[in-house]
Amino acid sequence: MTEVDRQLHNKVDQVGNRVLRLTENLIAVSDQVSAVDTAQKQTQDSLLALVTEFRSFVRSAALTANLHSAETQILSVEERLEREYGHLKRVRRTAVGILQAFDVGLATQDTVQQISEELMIESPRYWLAPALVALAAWPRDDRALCDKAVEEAFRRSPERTSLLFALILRRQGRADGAVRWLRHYLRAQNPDALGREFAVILECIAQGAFGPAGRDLMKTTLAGWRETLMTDDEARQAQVRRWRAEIDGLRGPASAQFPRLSRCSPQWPVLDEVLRCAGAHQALLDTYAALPEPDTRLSDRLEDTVDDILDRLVGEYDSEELPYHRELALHRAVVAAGGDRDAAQRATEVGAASYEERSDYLSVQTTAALDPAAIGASAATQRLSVAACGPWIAEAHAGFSRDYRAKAPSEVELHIGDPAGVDAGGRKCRIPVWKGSFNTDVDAMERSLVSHWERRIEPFVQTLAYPLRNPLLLMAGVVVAILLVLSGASVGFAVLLALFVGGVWGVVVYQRWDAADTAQDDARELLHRHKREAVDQLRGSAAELADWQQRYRAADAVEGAARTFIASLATTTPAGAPFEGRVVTGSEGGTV
Amino acid sequence: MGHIERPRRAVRPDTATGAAPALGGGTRRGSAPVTAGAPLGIRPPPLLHAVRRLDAGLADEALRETAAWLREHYTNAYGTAPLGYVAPCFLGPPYADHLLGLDGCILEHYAPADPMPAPFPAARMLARSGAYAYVEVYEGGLVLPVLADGTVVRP
Repeated sequence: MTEVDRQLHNKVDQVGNRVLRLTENLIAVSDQVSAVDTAQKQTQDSLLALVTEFRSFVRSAALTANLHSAETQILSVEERLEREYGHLKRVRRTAVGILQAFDVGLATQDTVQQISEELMIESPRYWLAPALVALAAWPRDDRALCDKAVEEAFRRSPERTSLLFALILRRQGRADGAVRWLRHYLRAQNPDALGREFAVILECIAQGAFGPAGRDLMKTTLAGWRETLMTDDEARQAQVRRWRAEIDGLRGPASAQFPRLSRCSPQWPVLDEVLRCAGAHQALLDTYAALPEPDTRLSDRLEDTVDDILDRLVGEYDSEELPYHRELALHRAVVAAGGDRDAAQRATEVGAASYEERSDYLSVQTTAALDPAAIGASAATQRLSVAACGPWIAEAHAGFSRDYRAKAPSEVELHIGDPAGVDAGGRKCRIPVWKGSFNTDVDAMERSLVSHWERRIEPFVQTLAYPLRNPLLLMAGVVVAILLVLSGASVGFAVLLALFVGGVWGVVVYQRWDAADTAQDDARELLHRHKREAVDQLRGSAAELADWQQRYRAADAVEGAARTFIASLATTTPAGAPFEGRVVTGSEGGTV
Repeated sequence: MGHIERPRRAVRPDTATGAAPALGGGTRRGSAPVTAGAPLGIRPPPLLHAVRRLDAGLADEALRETAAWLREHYTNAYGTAPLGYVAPCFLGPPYADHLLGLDGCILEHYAPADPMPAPFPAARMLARSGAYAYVEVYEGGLVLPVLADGTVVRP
């Protein structure tokens, strides 16, 4: 072997070693890049989880703050109400107190006169105070004072004063005078703009408080109003909208029982919404079929019945107090909604009409049905009002059912796969998201999904294979070169060196090939596992969709029962029924 | 599109109910209260029956006569007639709903994946819910579901 050959051999050897080191370095760098990629993905996932958790915490903190704020506000508004209008409570209590004291003769006229005059001075602008002075003047037969006081009360609140004296005269068994006041009251009313005290009329109807003469008067008047207003499409629509909002509020909660479908189906939000809507039928039945029964222990004494109604009339807050009560209702809704201001706002919007100063007759009926507490209506009045609202409930319910049924998706799709890809064999395997539709057979979908994955798994796994050809060719070239170059000097040495170089090189190549082969097997297994998970996802989603369809059909089928129930409202309580109800027996012994 | 026209067969007039579609003048039986200007009145039983019979496999001639009677009845009673009806299909899979066109009197059955021509798709899910006897579709896209008792759901 010449010196040149030896040098050449050394150089080739060095080049071979550098190539090897370079390849190793490249593999190391590739591993590091892959590790960095994995770490970045993990960091992103952690960050996403953290952001979600943080948002949830922020929302929970905001809800708690809203809740506390609303509770404080409730106390504050109640305190303001007490401070500014608390003194009216005494007047209210005194009104019925005076009547009952007269009944049993346990108060002297002087005391009653003194108290009523004190209240008159203490309660400026309040309508009930002069009415009490008139009441006190009545037994003393002081007509001049009585007339003056009635005129003042009438000036302050014509509607309430008329009703008060109608009820008081009725209570005292002076039916003619009571009906005269009642007629006076009803004639002065505009059915488009009734005051809040009108709920008392509904209450009188429910309780049969005015006797046959008053009943006929109310029946004729209210039937006329209703007929007039029902021809006004806008008034009818307004009631339908209120009932529609009420039915919307009866939707069930979002379902957490369909995890796969919610993850994979782009139609899930609609599916969930539709199922929630279908659940409203049962909720409607539960709510309105089980309305509290009216108190069956109604007193047969006219005085007791009228006193209950008088309590409601005098207890009804004045228009001046309305803004406070509106505010109070909002804060209470915030507390009821656990601090969710938006939900509270929606809830109070539904009941906003209950706090209007004036509303039309149809609205008063709807309010008595939906929110009896807001206008001080009893359970009996609520039941009658729900019955009277039957046509609007039916229309709102039919529209509600039609809308969610029309919204049900005609096609439920599935999107399975992660667009970010799968980390396999140190590389990112990007398999496109598979899309399928349940309008096709589930078996066909499964075949499509399996084929979608299998078409991509093998080509990706092949990219991980160690390229044997080039290293082997290079190795063979070097070995042949050694043999050719050195065999001239020493055949034995050349063969030994070639075997040594070939052996070492071969071992390195084999190790790399073996490592790549293992990586291929691992990647193949991993991707097949992902494929099986995707298939499980599909089967699970199909099962959940079947479950959803079953639940939806069951919930939707209740619509018929709800419709029958709403229709039955009119038949169980025919239009005339409120007026055909009980008639209280008067103290004079006859039916009045 | 994949829909298949169902074979039709001629059926005799239903003398029991007297609901056979009248030709030409179209006898108006069982007239119901009608909301003037809007097709919202309760559909009378003979009309419901006639719409149901459209899907009963009528011969072409009988189908045309029924369609003409329906058109006339609607126009006289409500001032307008629907373009057609979408109703649940009882043929079973793959069919889910069918379209009965008054104009040209087409009767076509559709599988869930088959597209329906406009403006009928808006009525499909309502028809497929099975809650309505049929769904009327008017020009301009007005969709009116009709319950089995003839009540129309107001838009």
